[in-house]
Amino acid sequence: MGLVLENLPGLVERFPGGSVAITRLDETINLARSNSLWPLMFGTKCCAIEMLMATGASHHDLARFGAEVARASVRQADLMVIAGAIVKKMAPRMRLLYEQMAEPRYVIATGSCAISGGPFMYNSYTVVRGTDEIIPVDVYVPGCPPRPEAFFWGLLTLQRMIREGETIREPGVRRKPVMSALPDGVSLQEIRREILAALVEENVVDVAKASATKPWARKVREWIQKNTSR
Amino acid sequence: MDSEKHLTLVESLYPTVQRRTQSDRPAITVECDRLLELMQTLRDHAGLRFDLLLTHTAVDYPDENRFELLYLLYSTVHGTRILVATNLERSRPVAPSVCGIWPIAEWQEREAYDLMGILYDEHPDLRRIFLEDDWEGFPLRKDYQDSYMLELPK
Amino acid sequence: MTHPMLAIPAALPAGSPWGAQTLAERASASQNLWVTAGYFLLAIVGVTVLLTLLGMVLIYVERKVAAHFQCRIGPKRVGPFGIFQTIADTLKLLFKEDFVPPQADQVLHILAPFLALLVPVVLLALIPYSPMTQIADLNIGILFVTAIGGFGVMGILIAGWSSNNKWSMIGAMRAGAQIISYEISATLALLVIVLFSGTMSLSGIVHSQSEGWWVWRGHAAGFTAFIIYLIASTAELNRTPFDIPEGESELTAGFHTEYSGLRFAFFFLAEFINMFTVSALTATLFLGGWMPFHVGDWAVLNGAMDAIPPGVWFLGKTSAVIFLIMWIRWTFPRLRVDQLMHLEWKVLLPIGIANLLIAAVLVLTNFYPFPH
Repeated sequence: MGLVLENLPGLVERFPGGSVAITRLDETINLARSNSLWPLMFGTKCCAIEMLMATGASHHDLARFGAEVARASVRQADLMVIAGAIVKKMAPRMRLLYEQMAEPRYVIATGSCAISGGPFMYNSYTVVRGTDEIIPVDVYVPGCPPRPEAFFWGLLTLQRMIREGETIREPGVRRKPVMSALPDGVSLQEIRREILAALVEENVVDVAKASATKPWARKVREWIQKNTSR
Repeated sequence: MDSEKHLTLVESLYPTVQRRTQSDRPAITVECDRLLELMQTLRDHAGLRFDLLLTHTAVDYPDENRFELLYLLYSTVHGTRILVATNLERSRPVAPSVCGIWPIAEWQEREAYDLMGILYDEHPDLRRIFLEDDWEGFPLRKDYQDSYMLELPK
Repeated sequence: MTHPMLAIPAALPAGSPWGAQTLAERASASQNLWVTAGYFLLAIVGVTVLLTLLGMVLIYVERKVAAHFQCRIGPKRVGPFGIFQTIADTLKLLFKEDFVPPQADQVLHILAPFLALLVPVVLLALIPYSPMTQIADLNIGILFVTAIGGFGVMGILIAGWSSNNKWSMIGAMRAGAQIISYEISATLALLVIVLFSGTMSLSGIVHSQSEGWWVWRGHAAGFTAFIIYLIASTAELNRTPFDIPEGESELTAGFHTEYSGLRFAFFFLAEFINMFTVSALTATLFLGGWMPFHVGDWAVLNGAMDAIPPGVWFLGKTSAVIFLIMWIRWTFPRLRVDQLMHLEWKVLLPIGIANLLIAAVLVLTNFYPFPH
């Protein structure tokens, strides 16, 4: 089976119109792959409740996107949803699981613990600072935990990445990086600046100062003044 | 039998225990020497019968130079809880093991040893339970620092 | 000259509007070699097409039924109402990396999925879909069904053994114990029907139900046999509540842990085709196969029921049983392995034997009018 598929593109391309056929085949297969991602049950912490269990349940339904069949065996799953912090003890086992997955395989890191170590980034003696130190990650979904809708956004981004960037010749290699769409008028540089500024101010927690410019803060202050007696 | 009666009974048997006032449940502090005796009485005395050790932890007070061991006990017969605390010197944290009284304490004391470094006399199997066997140091002590931990940006 | 093994059964009522002619019969009755070969080819193509269609439809139906039982929607993005979901799944599985675990037994590892798929495909050839559509009608039909059905355990055991993985081995052992235990109850239930209808050939059994389906015409014994056969078949299929062998939360994926890609798709497909085969057998033996629903002498109703083609009857009954099996799957929790064994050996087996004795007494004393 594998032998046939590895030599197939080379064979077909020799015929006239072969490259067109290969491209169409690529597109069809990528479409099939993106709509049938089977997640691996791999939840370590609180994100597992949100990402794997709540999104798979009735209210937010993961099966709508074809990702219903969550297989427990690594050989049969092709999407590893990392839900939860990875500690040093878990890290080699996770690497083993990743390597046992059959190509093509994809990884979505959900939650801040999986992206960067999260709240444990500073003073933890065991939490690995981000799973991309151990396995290559395709999509990062921030949040603590991310809402199921945010997870769907990540899943749909991954589907778009597969449809636009993969090819049958080198499964698992993404050619064109795909960005999740930003709202109009916002650029990456602005977001970066805001984050840096927030980090600098991080140690000073002055809610009044931080929210003074926000329109909702004025209404909250008025409500407080009206309804509480000092 | 409610907790007030329990405390009175314990105080009558062991006059040197002190009640802890800043606790939300009946709690007493005892010296380390009389700990094992007190635990045996708490389990076996007909009026007390605390036969379930719910949890056992340790707290690190580096400023006061002590470790505080906490034992939370529950009586399935009477349905009441009690918290027993004892203080150890921070430089020499050795405590008697209560494994002979409640066997479940074996793993709980292993956890206290693993993370806080508290040693137990006559513990059948005192080794690390969470961290790797060759880990150096006791992470949950307040003065623990290794190269993997980052500092808060100032 | 037809082979005696393929003779039309004697239970065919005289003047019945449905003459039975199976493909095998037509093939052997013709003198021309090309026509015979053509019939063979037709049989092979027919079974293959049926397999593929069934696989696609059943997997999609399972997803949707499961979703609606759980108050959610199920696949809905791939094509209208998500009907191309199975095609997407199959294409994905087809183009996945294909490997055999390094220390595993290579030959057996590759062989096992085909063995698992063998059983239901062979049984597909025996089932009377309609009076004119049956590939082969053996006059020892039930015996053949039981024999081939018992072979199903081989695929699972070989898969578990050849994976070189102790969890697969445990899953395969459990599956082996489960399947060979529940075969006994299933066979006892089938024997009740053989007693009632007096013949072992499947189309003969269908013809014997022209006055009423065995599920109610056999009264208590028939209904009990129906229930026992349903439960035993669900256990044979390794479906919840009896899916310990692939107990996902316990043994990763049980005996097919080390299979990926196309070979896993074969196991997946084999389970669903087996489900169809078992439902078709239930419908044939207990629910009358392609026989329409007649009520005594009510000519108007009987006429209306006869107007519906027998193939549609068969399909409807089989679909109802498939729905029932899926309903059971998504309602009940899984049985522990000792509860499973207890259910078979201490509950179903005594009831099955008692049922068989009662059925034998009924037939011998001619308490209910049975043919022959």
